[in-house]
Amino acid sequence: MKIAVVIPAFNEERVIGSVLKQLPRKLPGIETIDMIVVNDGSTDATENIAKTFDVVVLRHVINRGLGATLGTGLAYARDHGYDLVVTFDADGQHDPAELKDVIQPVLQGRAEVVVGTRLKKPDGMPWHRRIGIWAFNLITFVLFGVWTTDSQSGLRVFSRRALEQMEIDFQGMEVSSGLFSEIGRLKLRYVEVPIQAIYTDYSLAKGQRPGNGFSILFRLLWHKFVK
Amino acid sequence: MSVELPFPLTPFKVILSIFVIFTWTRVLKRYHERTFTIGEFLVWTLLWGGGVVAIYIPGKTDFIARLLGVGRGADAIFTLSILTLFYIIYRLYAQIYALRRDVTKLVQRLARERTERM
Ligand SMILES: Nc1nc2c(ncn2[C@@H]2O[C@H](COP(=O)(O)OP(=O)(O)OP(=O)(O)O)[C@@H](O)[C@H]2O)c(=O)[nH]1
Ligand SMILES: [Mg+2]
Repeated sequence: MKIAVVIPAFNEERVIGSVLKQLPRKLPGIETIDMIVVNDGSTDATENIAKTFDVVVLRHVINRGLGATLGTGLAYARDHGYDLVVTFDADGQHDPAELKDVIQPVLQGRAEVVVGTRLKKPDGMPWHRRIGIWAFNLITFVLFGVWTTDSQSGLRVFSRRALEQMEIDFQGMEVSSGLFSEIGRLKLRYVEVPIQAIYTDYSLAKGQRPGNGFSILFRLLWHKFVK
Repeated sequence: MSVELPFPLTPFKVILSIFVIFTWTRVLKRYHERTFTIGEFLVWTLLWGGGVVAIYIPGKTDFIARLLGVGRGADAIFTLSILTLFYIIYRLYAQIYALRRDVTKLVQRLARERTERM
């Protein structure tokens, strides 16, 4: 069992080092865990810091957004024969210790796709983020027919089979809801695992701007009805 | 001095005519550069030529309005303008979307070809 952990990173110099240090390199029953950092055109020291670790670094020469970044990382994992792929944010918002929990449903063959949901224990998550996520949970359900309690989570797991079938054609933040269109289209078995939401001053200062929501919604509609 | 014209000439019509004529010279240029075929050239010439003639036909907006069933002539013009603008914006967005995707594909290919393994 070979696992790839895809870590999208855009200007995360302050936290990516601690994320890479804490992510597990060994888990029982798994031969290899490789870290794939995708530097999305960062203008800070993100890449230099990543390179001090034993990781693969993929570089976007200019910033293309989260969807493009995940696309690059997932394609790499698919082409290099990984059995299971995890996506894990570089901004320190996930607990690295929970990696072993979210991969379980795929390891046990119960799921093709897993999303770590932060809404089952949302303490620490600001109320306006919670409202935004619920709004997008509804939008995701209406557009793509899959019900999720955290359509915006950055912690996801895909089986080899899911990876081979999914068509990942997104640019920015619309990717999170957008991936559910693939889950729905391919009827992939989907399971949620509760995870912690870590909101520090750092991530709050940097996080989503209100108004982004409209651009995400517009792109999802475009993806669904026009593309 | 006042010259009696067979049709009323407003500044608006003059500006519109100049615009149409200027646009038509672009069509001519394209034809000369051979980026337009003779067919395309004729289609555009007819279209813009028809436009120029239409500017000077009195009561034509009311005719269009009656055709569309929207009441006053001015309403017809507004409706058509807004629809045209919507279409143009749609085309623009579609092109930007395609462009964005192409740039991403390029960037992704570069990323793939220059993978570094520590
Ligand atoms: N903002 C942003 N993040 C990117 C981009 N490309 C890759 N990322 C990475 O995508 C991950 C998620 O980005 P965030 O901006 O934290 O988005 P989020 O976690 O959905 O939003 P918050 O809940 O507000 O933190 C991080 O690891 C970023 O480094 C980009 O172009 N913009
Ligand atoms: Mg974040």
